[in-house]
Amino acid sequence: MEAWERTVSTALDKVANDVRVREGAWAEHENRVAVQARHQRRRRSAGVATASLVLLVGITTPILLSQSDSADLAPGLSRQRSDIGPLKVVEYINGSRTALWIYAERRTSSAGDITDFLCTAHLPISQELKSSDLTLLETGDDPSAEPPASTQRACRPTTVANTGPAAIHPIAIPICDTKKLGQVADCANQTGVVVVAVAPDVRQLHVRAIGGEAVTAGELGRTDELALFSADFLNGSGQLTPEDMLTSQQFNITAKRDDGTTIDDVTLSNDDVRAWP
Amino acid sequence: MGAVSTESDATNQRGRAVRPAALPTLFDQHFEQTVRLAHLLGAEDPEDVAQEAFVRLHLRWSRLRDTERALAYLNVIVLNLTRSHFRRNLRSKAISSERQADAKSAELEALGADDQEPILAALNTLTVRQRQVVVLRYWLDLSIDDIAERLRVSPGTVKATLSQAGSKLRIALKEG
Repeated sequence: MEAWERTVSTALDKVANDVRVREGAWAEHENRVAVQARHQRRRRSAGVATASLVLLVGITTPILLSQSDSADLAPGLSRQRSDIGPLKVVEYINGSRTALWIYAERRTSSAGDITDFLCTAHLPISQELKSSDLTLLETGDDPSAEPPASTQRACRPTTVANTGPAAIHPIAIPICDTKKLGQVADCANQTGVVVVAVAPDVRQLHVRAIGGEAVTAGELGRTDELALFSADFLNGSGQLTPEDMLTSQQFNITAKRDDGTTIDDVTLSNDDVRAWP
Repeated sequence: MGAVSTESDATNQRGRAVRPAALPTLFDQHFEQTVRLAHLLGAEDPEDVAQEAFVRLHLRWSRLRDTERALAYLNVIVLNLTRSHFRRNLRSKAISSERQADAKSAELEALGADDQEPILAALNTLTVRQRQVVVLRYWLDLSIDDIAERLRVSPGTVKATLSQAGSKLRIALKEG
């Protein structure tokens, strides 16, 4: 050890030894431990409360079914009701975000005519939607019957006459991009996605808010019977926004057939848009 | 720095503080030393730091992997507490740079007797880490490896830090 090190060591000893410690330190220590133990218990309790809150939030978080989920659900539905035929399940969360609504499309003709839409289930939200939940769909699957009282508000059976393969049948549901969880909050405050059912030979759709310049064109696959115009889709054109949908009084929907001829005789009013809660 | 046996948890299942049988012994034997360590490390209220260190040790007793090393763990707690204290002080001084320096407590005034002023002044020229290394090395007589373990740095870092601190101390003590 060098001289300076010895100096430092000695000086540190001197400084340390001059520190006086009060009597009764142990009792003080025990008091302090007791206080901190209480704080720990409170923190643990707060942790439990927080966890419970998270759990509650989890329970009330809407379920969003992606298109693939819907595809998964549809076969289950078909198995339950083989006479229903091809079904598509579209879901959205209603304004209070407490329920999941599902409606199914039924086709009765081998030619592909859309004969009716079955507006069906009003499911309470749970953490997981099981295929057994879909038995509820049976409550509204008879177009000739009034939907049960419990689903009347939720469902509006829409019977569409056989109008030929080129028919365009608009219905409307609230805007809700079901693929994006982050937009659920907005979804609850918006109305106006147009769902258009088109016949198989209709390839292109134009949706126009009357009174505005906006026109949106969407290319549909031949097998699409139901086109869900989400907010993203409409914004993607840069022309028709959800706000347009909300403020415009009418929407013109024009469909273009494969042969190039158009059908533009369908007008959807804002009342129709709002007909669905 | 004797071995410490464990007989019960620091807190029972309901979170109530339970006294580990070995803790009073540890407290009796090392509380004063812990206060002195905190003082040398620059704590303004070393007894408070020592109390807090024992409380933390007490509450975490059941989670100690090796109660034989409780004292080493206690030292680490003191190091961390005094370092946090320094950081808080640095921040508050930076924020209130116009404020006058705090007056020394009566205790510190008493401790800062003439013969202690040079070494305290010299220690104050060091960084927190340099001061820690000096105190652990020249007061607790810990080996380079033990210091490295407590500070969670490599032995080479301890040596380098010690060398830098030595240079500063030599200058400061000469000037003092």
